[in-house]
Amino acid sequence: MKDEIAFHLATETERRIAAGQTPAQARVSARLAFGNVPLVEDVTRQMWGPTMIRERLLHDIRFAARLLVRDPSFTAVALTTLSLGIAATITVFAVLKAVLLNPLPFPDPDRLVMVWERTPGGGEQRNLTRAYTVLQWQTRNQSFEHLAGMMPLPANVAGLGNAEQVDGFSVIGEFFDALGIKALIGRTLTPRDTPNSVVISHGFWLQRLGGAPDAVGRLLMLNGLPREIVSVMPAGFAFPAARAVQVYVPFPVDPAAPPGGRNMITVARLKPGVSVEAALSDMRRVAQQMIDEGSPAVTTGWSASVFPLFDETVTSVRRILWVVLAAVTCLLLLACANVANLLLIRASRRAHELAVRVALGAGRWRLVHQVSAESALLALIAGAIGLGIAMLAVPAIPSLFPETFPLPRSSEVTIDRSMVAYTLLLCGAIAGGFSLLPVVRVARKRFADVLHSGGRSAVATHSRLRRSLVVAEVTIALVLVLAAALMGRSLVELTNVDPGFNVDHVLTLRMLMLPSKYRGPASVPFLRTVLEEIRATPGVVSASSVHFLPLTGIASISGIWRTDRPQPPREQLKGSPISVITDGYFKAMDIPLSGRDFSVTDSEASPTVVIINQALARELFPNEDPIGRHIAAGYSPRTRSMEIVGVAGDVRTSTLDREPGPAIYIAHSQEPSLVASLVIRTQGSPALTVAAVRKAIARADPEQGVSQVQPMETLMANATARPRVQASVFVMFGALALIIAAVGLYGVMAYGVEQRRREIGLQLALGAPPTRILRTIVREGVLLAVVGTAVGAAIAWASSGALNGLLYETRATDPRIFATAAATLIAVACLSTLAPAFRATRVDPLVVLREE
Amino acid sequence: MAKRTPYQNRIELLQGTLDMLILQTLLWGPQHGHGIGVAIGTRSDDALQVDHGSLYPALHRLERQGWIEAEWKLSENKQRAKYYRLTPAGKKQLAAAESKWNRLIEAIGRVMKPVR
Repeated sequence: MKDEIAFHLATETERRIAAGQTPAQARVSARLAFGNVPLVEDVTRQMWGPTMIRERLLHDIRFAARLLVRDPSFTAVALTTLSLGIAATITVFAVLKAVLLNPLPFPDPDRLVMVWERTPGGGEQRNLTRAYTVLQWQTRNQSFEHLAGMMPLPANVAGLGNAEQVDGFSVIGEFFDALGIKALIGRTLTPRDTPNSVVISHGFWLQRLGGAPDAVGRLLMLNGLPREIVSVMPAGFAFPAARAVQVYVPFPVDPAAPPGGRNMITVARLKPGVSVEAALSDMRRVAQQMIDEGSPAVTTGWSASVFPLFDETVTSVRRILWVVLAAVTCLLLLACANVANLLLIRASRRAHELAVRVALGAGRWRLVHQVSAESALLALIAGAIGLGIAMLAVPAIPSLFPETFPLPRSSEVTIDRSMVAYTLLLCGAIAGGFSLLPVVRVARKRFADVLHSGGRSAVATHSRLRRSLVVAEVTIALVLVLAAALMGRSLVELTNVDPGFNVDHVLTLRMLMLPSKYRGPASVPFLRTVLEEIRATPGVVSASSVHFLPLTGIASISGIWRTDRPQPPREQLKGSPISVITDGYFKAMDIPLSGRDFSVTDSEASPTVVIINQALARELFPNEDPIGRHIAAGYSPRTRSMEIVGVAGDVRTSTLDREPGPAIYIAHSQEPSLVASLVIRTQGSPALTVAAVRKAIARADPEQGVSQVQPMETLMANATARPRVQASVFVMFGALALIIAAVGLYGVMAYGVEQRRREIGLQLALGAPPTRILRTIVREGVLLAVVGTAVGAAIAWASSGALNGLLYETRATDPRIFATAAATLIAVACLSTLAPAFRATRVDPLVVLREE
Repeated sequence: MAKRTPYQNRIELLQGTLDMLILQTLLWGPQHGHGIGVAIGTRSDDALQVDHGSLYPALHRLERQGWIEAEWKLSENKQRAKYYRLTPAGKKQLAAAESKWNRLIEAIGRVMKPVR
């Protein structure tokens, strides 16, 4: 095209020479007649739509890249803030998507539900049910294709190297068909299977059997009995609430047996077209039917409830994930506001350049495109870096959560193609947002004014926009700092909680005594032998056992009442934890005890004795001495009348954040159980005695396996893990927010000072004391911070409800924490204004005034 | 000094007529941009002055529409120049534009010289 125009000008010049002009005159007049050559070129090029747009785009991007390279400090700050913000957002969104948005990894997951029993009055919607009831439900319901019951079963595996215990499920009904998953090798369990079959997980197959292709058909010693492996499940298969389960065995169904205890969870697949509500009313009908028929398993008041499996899986983390997503979005907005601010400042510096280019004939939209290309490039690079960081961060997520409080579905978190699309969307939105700024400015600006002012006064025009951006930044930062402070405070409160026992120097382990050998009273001498072997081990101070350790989320619950008063109706009985312990438990746990401990003389033959905690003593025996009195518990026939022999200190059993309630302890020798957790107080580090303790147990019975060998401290750490993860995430967000806001404020103030150098120089020249200038500038910055803080505090106050249930002993509107957060933010604001303010006082009036 | 065309002798081109004039000029055979501009000027006895600045955008617009084609050839004075040629589609477009133009002229004429 250049050639074409050159040819035109040449021809026109010749024509004019022929018409009698001098060559010089002709050249000039030909050009004048033609007009603005680059403009014509530009307009002509625009006639060519797409191809030209592509060419121009490349040009713009090249130009933008050059600009970014030329200003490395700007580029570094902008890219760092943006890519950190994007990385955090992608990571959180990846987690949220995997946990809350993706369907469960089963066919037709919407049809999967869990059915529970509901306690009288509906106080507990999710009560375990009995095997007997599951069988009744299976035959009576009209809503489900399949309904299966599962009972957690600690499984002692022997015959494959060291004896070890793994988690197992004892299942009634078509558990695998309900979930809709077929075996990788072999066939899944059917109701016709004998109790001697076992299905193993993919992980178990790889670890214990080395992935042997002929695994199906082999025998496995489970809890002392040989079982035949009938199938291996595919990799990744697990029931969502029980990912650790490695072996599945059929529950020994005996329809004639009396109903056992409530110890089963269920999973069911709705028939096509049946809603959860319809299934619920169907199950309520079934429950009522059973009551009406006088079923031994269900008494008046009990009913059933049905919840989608998906909800059951993610309920625990739904709220916190949304709160974290909100927080990370705030962080990203903050980063964007900051970069927008930097872009504005930079654009102001380029105002003169832009004005000159307009004067030379550049189209305004052309300029807008160019400026947009720059922000698009910035957003894209930041997005790529952010995606990279997120890819590194995602595999680490499951390890942030402890085994006992795992993040549900954490193994499903990945950065896949949809996350890349999400990143692009994010970058597009960011770039779009940034582009709006120059569009508004370039399109409106009267460039002549800029040229006249010699590039100095182009500032004031959008300083208001920049100031509001800073206020917005401070607002967001305050909200995030406040959330961090609240979470931190809550964590401190929680870690300061005294659980009621001494955590230091205690080793714990879990053990299911082999049912083939130690069922019933046989477990008493065996457990005694094991404990004696352990107590004889060097380095062990004391050792005892409890059937379920506190703070593990598992407990036996039963109603308790005084025998000298009428038994209250079932609905009024609150469930209290019952612990089955051996003698020496209070010593090993360092729990204060008045009265006497259990002893060898408390046997099956002697009257049942009980130790109660202080909370129960306060509740049932206010102003009385409980020792020697009798209470009853619905736990078993033996517990219908028990003599109180001791009162122990209160211990937090369920979770750390719950006040200890009434609880009782009964003796293992009187109420034998196969489940036991050992607590072993050691002289030195508990880790050092692990090998000796394992040997001691092997001396008692080499086939006896143990599991979850860990110090009590780990158990405690696990109990506070979720709040700790929560607090550390928010503290990180808060710190980032503080830094970004500080950078933003600094940028605006520094730029403001630079623009006002002349005015400041003049003031100094006229005798203004530097301190006054310092004060003016700091005051300006702090004012912005104060406005932002006030707005942020108002927003935080209004939305404090979002943190409900996430805080322990901390009010989301605690004025002291509000004040602290606000003070921190304003202090940081002061600091970030000081540097530019000092620079202002060092302005040399002579230099500045001569610059004109 | 550059020669100035007296104002009253110049007629501003009506919007959209430039395309038609270019197509009409090319009816006489291929021509380069400058030649087209000169031809329009001469054929209108210098009453119509094509603004050279708008000539090239128009040429490229027409080329993109597929009404004219371009090729580089040597000009009369042995310089490389871009020659534009009318395409069949361009001829059809010219006919359409011409009949539209005639109707416009007629309509305007009726307004300006009402029946007495």
